Amino acid sequence: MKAILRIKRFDPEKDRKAYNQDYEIDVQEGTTILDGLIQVRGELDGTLAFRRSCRSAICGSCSMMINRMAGLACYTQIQELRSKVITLEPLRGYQVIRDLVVDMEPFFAKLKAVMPYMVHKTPTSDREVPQSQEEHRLLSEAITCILCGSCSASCPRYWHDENYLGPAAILKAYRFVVDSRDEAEEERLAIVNDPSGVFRCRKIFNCVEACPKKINPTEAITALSRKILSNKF
Amino acid sequence: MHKYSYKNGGVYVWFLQRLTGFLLLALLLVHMLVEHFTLGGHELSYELVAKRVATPLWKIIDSLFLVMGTFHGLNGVWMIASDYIKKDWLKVTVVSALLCLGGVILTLGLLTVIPFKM
Repeated sequence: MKAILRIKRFDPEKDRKAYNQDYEIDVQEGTTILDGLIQVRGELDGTLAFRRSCRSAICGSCSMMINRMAGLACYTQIQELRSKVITLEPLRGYQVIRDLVVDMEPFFAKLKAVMPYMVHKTPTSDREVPQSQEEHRLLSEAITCILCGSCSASCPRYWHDENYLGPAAILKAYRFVVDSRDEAEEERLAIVNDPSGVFRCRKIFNCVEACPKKINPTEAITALSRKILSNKF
Repeated sequence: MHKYSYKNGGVYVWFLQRLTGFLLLALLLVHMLVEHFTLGGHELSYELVAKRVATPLWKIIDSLFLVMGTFHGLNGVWMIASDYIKKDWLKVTVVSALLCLGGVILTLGLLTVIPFKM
């Protein structure tokens, strides 16, 4: 079987505007978008630029817009898309560096803004800090986030407001706020209560739909809003 | 990089928008009940309405209605507009315009409501 990958190309050194280029590839059962891209670069056009690393949906490098929906190239099988022509574009809301490669720097800067690390203020012995299964269950979904950026790329708020933290960063804040071992809830809630934080979310669930790991960032955003509200009023 | 902080916390505006929305609905219901069912029904006249509006309690209620309605409406417009406006100068322009509009509405409205005599 054949399929056409319609890829949005852009080389800042050569092109003034992005353009689409079609590549016909061989598809078998189980062929993923990433397999297709590797085929294109290996056999048809060596100049195509895209990121990839693990090929098993755990590194988050190959996220892109697939038929206008953000997702992982290595996790999306071509046959499942049921379309002859598949459009591939760089993630929306990010600066394009070349072809399908985008600048993830602002994304990670926002992640750093929510203090994505454990803060333990009370002195402990040199033993581990235990956590019950119930306590762990609260964060078991959030810790599966692979930081691929698909959620933020599918969020209109993220496209339009360069300061908006975005679902991924807020989910990370949530992951530490609900962690029984963490002791910086107040600081983190202060950060996400910024006008460009949780209250900017329009609750349209695009991030939930986009997440390849089936995480629900909107729920995390709502939970943090509730926490701020109950602390304030 | 934007500095994320509590200082101008988004929670207040968000909460006020919900609160005023709820109160506006409640006040509207009271208004409808009083004006159209208990006061005059179908035979509503200027005298009846003017008598009600001239009492201090109704002046307070109507002023509240005006302040909350202005806030809720203009803040709602800004919330929607801010989804689409990227440029800083345009943001400042729109916010200033909305604030001016709010000022005009409140001044005109309060000047009508408060000194009203039968």
